[in-house]
Amino acid sequence: MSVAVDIHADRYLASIAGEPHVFHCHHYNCFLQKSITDQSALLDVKSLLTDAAAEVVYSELTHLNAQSDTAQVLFGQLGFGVLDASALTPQGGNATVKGSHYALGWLSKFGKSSAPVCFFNAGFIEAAARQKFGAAFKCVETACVANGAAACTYEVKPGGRPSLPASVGLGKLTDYAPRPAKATQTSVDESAIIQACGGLPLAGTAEGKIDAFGVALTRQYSNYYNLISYRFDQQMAAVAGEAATTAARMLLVEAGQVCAFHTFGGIMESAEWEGLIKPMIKTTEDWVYGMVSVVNALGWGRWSVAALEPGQRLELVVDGSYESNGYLAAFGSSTTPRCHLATGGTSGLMNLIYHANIMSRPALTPALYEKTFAEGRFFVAREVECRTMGAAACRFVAERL
Amino acid sequence: MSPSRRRQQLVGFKYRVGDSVEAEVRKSCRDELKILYAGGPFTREAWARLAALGEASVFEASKINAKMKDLIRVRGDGVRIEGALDGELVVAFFEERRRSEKRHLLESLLSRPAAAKIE
Repeated sequence: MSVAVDIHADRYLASIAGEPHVFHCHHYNCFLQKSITDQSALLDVKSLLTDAAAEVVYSELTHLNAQSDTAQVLFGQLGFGVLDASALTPQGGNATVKGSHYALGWLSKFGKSSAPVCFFNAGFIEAAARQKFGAAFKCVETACVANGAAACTYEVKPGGRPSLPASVGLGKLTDYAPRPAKATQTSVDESAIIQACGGLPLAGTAEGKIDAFGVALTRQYSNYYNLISYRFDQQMAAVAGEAATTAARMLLVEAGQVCAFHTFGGIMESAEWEGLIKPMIKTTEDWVYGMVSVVNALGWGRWSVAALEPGQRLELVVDGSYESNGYLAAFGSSTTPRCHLATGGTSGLMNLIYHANIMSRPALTPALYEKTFAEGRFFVAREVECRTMGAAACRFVAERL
Repeated sequence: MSPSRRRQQLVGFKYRVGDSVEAEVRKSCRDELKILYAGGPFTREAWARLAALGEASVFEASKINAKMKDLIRVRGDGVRIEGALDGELVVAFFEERRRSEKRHLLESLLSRPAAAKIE
């Protein structure tokens, strides 16, 4: 049994029961989460991270009209591990997750944690209980593999928020303009790559793992990222003012850079890149096009190269970015750019290719990350136009510092 | 020292496998040992030998675009091997519990004389 994924090929998006999903690996998931949990002295980070998960998952399960084990199937299919919520009753109870993506990812990236880290899982389980029993529940992780426990265990109790805010689903969509001329000036066949990616095993295995591109992928909820990122921004501003919100946005952009360095880098060193993309590559610039083609299979919206000066400057246009779709629908318009992941992704992409020489297949270590984003004339990116500020599409420029 | 810490210390370690394959230990995204084997090309014959380690599956990407290579994946007990037909890279992931046994077996298959003929 699996849950159907709807591919919106014209918009480069994917959804399940109206809820958009995007691929991201544990580097982004854990770094983004850590950026937020590091501010626990200022914010109620547990609620921030858990509540958002409960909202988007509850919306999806409700629209799916989920039956007995749908939530468990979905959890594994999305790459989060193996969920056993079979012991839950209308009075609550305990649930477990084996092979938790967040716990194992945290251990791999940061080492042993001083506290449980699977906030997303707790929100997911809360939503599953709410949907199954039609009542309010609250879920807390009581033991976590990242914290040294043998298994991730969750306690579910009746209570919590009486109802959950509705998810914005696919968000505010828009029609896409024709792609820039530069977008297709390459020997890389993007449509073939997207088609091939669709044929890869992108659903979780029996162990709840997605084994593709050599990285630990999840098919995460776009609106989970959006809610935790933008609420983090809002709450930082509310408790600590302008300087704190600037710091929050810098952290969110850095999460995008971390994503690009490890996820894009990992993809460029994977067996799939070797077989599908590398044979089409003729120039260094084709590495940019190759990665943009893969991104266009991840459900992030449509990325297009608008200008590329080799080794100097990249301009990307992103139509229907999942960040802008979600922001516009949930928070309205903005006076500042909001596509932090894509901003970090743009600089990360250029740094990998023209600064870290990803073509030589270097080990993607923390030391190389530090060197790449701190030494020499590395690339920095900015979002120069954003849909949340009224633009038709989002536009990013990466240039050397 | 924990297995994962031991693995961490090995990241970047390179060694030869047979005459024409270079192995490099990499950090895996999960609790497993990841090794890149560069060399090849890894022909149909080489993949047939590697298939002894588990169940092989082929994704015929060349039917989508002739420039693409078919992707091959071998899944076995405690090991996952990925690469492309006639590609120059094999990526292997070893679970901790059978790490040594499976790695030695894989490397013996890669370095057999027939593999060394690696055109």
